Amino acid sequence: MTSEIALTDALHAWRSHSDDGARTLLDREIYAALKRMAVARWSGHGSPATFQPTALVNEALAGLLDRDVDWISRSHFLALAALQMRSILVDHSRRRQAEKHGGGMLAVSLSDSDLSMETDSDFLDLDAALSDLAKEEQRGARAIELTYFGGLVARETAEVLQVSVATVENDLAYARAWLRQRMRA
Amino acid sequence: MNSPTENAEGPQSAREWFEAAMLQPIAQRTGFIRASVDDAQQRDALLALIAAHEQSHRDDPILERIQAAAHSTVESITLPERLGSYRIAGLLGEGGMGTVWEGVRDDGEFRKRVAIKIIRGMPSPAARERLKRERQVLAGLEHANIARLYDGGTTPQGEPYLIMEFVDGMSLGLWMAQKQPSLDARLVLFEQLCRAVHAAHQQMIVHCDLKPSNVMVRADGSPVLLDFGIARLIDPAGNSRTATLAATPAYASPEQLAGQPVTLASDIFGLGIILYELLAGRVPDRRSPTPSYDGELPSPSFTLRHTRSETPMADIPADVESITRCAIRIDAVARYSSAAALADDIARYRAHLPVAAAGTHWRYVTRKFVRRHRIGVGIAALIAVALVGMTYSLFLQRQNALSAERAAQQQATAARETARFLQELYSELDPKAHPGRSLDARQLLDLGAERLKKRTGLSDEVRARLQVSLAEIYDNIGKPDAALQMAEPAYKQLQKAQPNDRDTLEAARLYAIVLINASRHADSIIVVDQSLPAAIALQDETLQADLLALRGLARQTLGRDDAGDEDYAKADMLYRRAGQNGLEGLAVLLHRRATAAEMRNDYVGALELYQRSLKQKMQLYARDDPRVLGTVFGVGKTLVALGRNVEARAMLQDLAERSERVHGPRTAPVQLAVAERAAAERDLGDFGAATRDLQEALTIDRLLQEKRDTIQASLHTGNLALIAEQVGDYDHAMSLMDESIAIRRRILDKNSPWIARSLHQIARLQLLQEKYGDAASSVADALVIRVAILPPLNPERLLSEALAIEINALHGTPDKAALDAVVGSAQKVPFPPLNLRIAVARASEAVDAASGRHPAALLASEQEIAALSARHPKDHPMIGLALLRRAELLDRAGNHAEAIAQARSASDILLARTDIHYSLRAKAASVVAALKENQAAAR
Repeated sequence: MTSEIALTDALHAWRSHSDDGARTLLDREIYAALKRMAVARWSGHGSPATFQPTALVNEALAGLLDRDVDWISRSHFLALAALQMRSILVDHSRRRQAEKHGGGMLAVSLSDSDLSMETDSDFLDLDAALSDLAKEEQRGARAIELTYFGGLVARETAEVLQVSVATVENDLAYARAWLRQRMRA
Repeated sequence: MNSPTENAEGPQSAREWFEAAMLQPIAQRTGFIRASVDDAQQRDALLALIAAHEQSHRDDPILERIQAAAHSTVESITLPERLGSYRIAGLLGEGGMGTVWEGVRDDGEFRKRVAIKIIRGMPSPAARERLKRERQVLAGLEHANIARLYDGGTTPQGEPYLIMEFVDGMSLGLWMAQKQPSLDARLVLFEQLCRAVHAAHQQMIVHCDLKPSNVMVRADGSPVLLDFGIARLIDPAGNSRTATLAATPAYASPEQLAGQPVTLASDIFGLGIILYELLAGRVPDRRSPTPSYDGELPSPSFTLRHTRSETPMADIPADVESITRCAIRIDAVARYSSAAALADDIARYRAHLPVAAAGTHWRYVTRKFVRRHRIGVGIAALIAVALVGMTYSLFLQRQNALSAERAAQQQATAARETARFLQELYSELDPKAHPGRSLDARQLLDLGAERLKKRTGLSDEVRARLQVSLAEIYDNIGKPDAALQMAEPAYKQLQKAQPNDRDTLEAARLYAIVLINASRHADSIIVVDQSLPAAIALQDETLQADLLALRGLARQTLGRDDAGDEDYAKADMLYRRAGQNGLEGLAVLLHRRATAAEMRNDYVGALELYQRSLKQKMQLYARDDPRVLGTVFGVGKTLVALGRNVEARAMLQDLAERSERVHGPRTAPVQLAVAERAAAERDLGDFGAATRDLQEALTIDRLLQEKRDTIQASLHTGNLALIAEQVGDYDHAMSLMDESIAIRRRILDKNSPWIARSLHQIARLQLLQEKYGDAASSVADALVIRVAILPPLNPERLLSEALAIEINALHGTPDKAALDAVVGSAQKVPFPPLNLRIAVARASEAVDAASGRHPAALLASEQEIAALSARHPKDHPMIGLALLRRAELLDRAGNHAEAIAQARSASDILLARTDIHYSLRAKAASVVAALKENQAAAR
């Protein structure tokens, strides 16, 4: 595991001169950390606990980043984490769907299977809708991602997107309405 | 364009209309859209959007779906219920590489537990193939202290997994915290780890990620290494440039961090880090620069002293420290050549044998030797080694002088006699013969010596040889008197019986050394004179050179410099002619010649000789060899004498650290280095550091000498006084001087040059305090001694003469004739030291000023400042004082403006650099004021 100092440095390298290597390192570490933390929620014998993706991202922040970093750096870290959180959920939903359809090797009861199938397709619908929204309202889609997957508050989202807080609020209102309307359809 | 405010034409897009609607009161939004939007399709879409927006405060379908996906993700990444033939029983841990699960196979009555490591990430088909291949290699690695790799595969999700031996035990960190194991227990464990790593290395399997968390300790205390070769296995690159990403930065070797190929040496580094944590309770801090400027990682004891750790050792022995440092050298080539070599050194340390990491100086070896034989039985080996060596050389060397037959006969007799003597000595150790008695090495050595004296039936020759062996051991353990008692009769016997024999000459060499060590220099010269012709006849150049070098040393010590130099020059020539065999002798000789030059104050010559000696020694010995360190000290102290303080300080700093590694903390060599470093710091004006170093040197001296009065302690105290004097705390300086001279009076003859030196320093201090009468009488006392024991051109004697003249001129009568005599003598001194130049200039300044010869006084003052500047930085208080005197001279010469300028810079220096209580601070200010008044009056 890379140390928190190394990640903090990588974050600065990425922000100050768009270092791709640093970005790769960050993505990899964040993805791994989030996944590890999700796994750790599994109690071993009992049933798995639920988790809040945004809470998990914030925990990852606490675990991976130097305590002393400023809130701007934190916001950018959360933005990266939001992206990784989204891809973790997408990866797993897709894989489960593939397993269910392609003769899954796990012995799972029928009802469980049905339930999770529905969950997976619902989530993948949302993901697709978000991707569609990005085509016409890129900033709004990004604001949704930051808010729902990364748990960023308006001020942090505004910093990452380099717009005013008022604009973020407008973006969110529109994007939210757009997505709901699309999913209801 | 999607910002409505930038659009003067009014809303166009859905987004713009939506925002416009949001500006309306909630109840009117739908009405607003219905009334304003013409396009029916766009209108319906907008109404749907607004409806979706209104709903958001009740429940949020986006959040719900994300939440549900998160829930089912946790379920799915967790886990296969079974992998291969194992049931998953729980999560053991998680790490950078992935997660580790406990697997159980219930096979009827047989229940097997394993650890299953699921490696994160999806490998490419090629990587998967390689993984499978290498897994088979690792599966072949069987060792009691390495966790086995049984099998592996791929999870249904496509992630590779490894099935490994389940180690029932605790982590190394927990083991240390819970058991608080002794140093020995930690080392036993560590040695096992090294052997295990070595076994793997022999199969060309590298661990690549050795660190404390990869070590488990079983209930029986045996260590198990986890994850052998796994880092390399899962590295995407998969060749020798490997494991850079997978390894843990805090533990990874420098070459791994630099992305260079990983070798066996990287594992040596990892082992070193584990040993480090075993000792210091934590790993070295890689981020902060190392305190030793050699670029290596901080030593374990440094970390121990400077950080708080939970499971540290109370104290880390110097040898173990050396071993650790050798394992974690930045340069891979400088580390132990194998894990086995590291294990061997640990074993040697535990057996009280000298460790390879510490060098092999004889004193060091002997200390170890004696310690190992603390339990009586071992002493037999000590003497046996000496004697067996001797009988063997007997056999070899006899052949030259005697016929083969006679030699064999004599050798057989000698061996028989020796064996009998030893047998008797051994019987002293037999507990049946002497119940309840156990002898230590020294006691048995003494017993051997005693028996040798009384024992009848030994031939004189065998007795003499046995005595030579014992003499050498006594000399080596620092007992010159006991050595003398053995060497003297032995040499006389051999000299009488076979004066031209090589053994006799070697006995002569030893006897000469023992005599010098016992301060019987004149006798040592006689022995060399007796032996030289035989050595020349034997055509053994190294032996001749050794003898000449010893005589040179004895002659130099007795003050016969020229004759000594002649011996040294001949020895030098002979060593060179002897080539390879002479190198060692040459290095020693160069060092001795440097010391002789130093005694004559020829520091330039001494520096060159020390440096040449150092160069030779560096070719012969390891960098940290005590013999190398001794010469480094010579270089350092001559640099101080030459005023090259910045270089000196760096060198002595390095020396102190190396001495600490080799000899241990707070040992005599460390004391010397630290005290000399203090001199450089003082001359540089870093009084805080100098004071700390001198106090440390004093502490070491008290520890080593058990608070006895020593010349070292009085020197350190005197040097502390000098610092107090220079920062202007005269009262403190005087009380330290009193302490220093009191020590000298207790242990030295009242006419010792050391006491003269103290008296001189006291006189100078009294002069600064303007106690002219006291100063005159102190310097007179110093001169009485110096004139009695030192030749007229001795710099120290001239120093006191110059001081006496200065004191008289300042408070009495300027004595121009006496001054001229001292100036004349000083010019004849072959190597005038800096302080003599300064003292003579000050005497001239005082005499000329008192006689009203202002230009001459100013010239002398200029010379004084030039000499001071050769040694000190320009803001040193000594220079400040000189400038202040110069200001007064300038004023008296009528140059008021220049006087004020000089007084101001003097005042600035003194204010910045001296103690707050310094009387001259106030004086400097008042001088500036007085000079201004004089200037005004002159106008």
